[in-house]
Amino acid sequence: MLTNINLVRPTSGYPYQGHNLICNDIAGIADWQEVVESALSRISQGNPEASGSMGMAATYPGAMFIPGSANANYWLAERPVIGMSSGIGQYPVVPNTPWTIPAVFEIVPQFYRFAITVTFRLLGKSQFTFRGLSGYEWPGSLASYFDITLGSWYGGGVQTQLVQRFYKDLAYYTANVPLIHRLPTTPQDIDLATAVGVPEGDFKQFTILGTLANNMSPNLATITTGTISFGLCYPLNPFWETLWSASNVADGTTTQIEAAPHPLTGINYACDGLADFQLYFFR
Amino acid sequence: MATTRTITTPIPLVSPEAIAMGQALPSIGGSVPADFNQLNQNANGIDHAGWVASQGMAQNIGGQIHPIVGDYGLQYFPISNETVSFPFQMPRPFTKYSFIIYTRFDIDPTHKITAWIERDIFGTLNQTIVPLANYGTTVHPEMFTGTLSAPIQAFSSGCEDAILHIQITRDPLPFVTNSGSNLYWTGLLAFSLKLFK
Repeated sequence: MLTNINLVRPTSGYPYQGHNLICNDIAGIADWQEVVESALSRISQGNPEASGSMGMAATYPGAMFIPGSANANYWLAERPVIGMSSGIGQYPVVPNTPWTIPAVFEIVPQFYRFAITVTFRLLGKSQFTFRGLSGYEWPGSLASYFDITLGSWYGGGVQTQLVQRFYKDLAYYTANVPLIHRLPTTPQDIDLATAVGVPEGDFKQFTILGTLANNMSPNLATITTGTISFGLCYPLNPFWETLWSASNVADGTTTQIEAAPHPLTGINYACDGLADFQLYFFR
Repeated sequence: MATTRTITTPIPLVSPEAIAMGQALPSIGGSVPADFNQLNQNANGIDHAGWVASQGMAQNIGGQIHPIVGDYGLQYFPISNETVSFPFQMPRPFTKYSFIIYTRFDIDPTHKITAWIERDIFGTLNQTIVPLANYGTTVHPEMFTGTLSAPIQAFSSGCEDAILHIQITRDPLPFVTNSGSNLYWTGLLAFSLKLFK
């Protein structure tokens, strides 16, 4: 049951945002232009279709309510949209296949351009450790990548479009990840190691402008279910510069990640991966 | 598995141009220029495309998916009825909804999802937008579209508060270790509610 009192807010004439014409009014050029501009601006501004951001929660249920910190292992920890965080739960720390997480929205064929803003972090080689260890180095972290893929669901299947793939260090990745596990080179690849002015191991924020591929809509009259899927991968495990294997499952409760500032707020977060994103479609 | 809907009036890919000096203007009783029809079609198409009212997604922490509502990890938790609620605003022009959920359920037939919209003008009114069901063990999106019932729609010239409720149900299970994988998860991974006309 809603308890606030502001249940209704008035809206102005729709879609015309100036004034409403009545009988015997004469519509002039200015009226006509305002109507056209109202429709055009609505199309060009588009829709924010999906968004997400990290959260924070106790590392153990009820832990924040234990006075005097009965267990020093409990604290408020970051929960990125996708990524590692210092000591949450029990999980395999590093995969040799990407972790993924999707959001859903609608693909309207006439809103075929998109803008995606992402804030993400791929760890530097000295930013990951296990609790109790110091001076730990993980050169294999340089083989990591983060990518963004759009999906369009129709005809009983899904059509995908790779938007961007950010490599931590493409040269290191190519030199150290065995060919059989290596991704093919694509025009969407970006090598962060050669990006100008991007500090190593910090959060980075990019806005990507793009156009939907032709096969993402079956026709102009069909709106499809869309997905935006984020992938995060550290192909080389934290113990050696070798591939991760299923037997190398680590206890995530001992993971420790060096904090780094968010580029917008300056607040330090001890996590990697995707901190936040926003997806718009427009024309 | 429904994942598409038809846009009744597609927005023309050619946008109308602003009228210029010397061009015939629409007048009462006169013929309507083609540009005006195209403008009308644009506006209708925008209405059909709709407007995102609410959306959300899960998290993937260290490879382990934490659903919006559901179960994950090495243990089966005794879920019975878990509901999450999201307030949103419902503008008057919109009379229909499109609701997408991205889910996976285990084979237990009692494991189900339902969703409804609540409006609180004349007491509490509810409209179910996702029939209570188990929508399958594969990870996939599912789209539900329909017309907002008259009492649920907003008043004219208004933009009203409403609530989206999503409920996951399952007959309680004992707290047992899942021998499968600690990457196990079930329930709701993402959703998006759109309103249109």
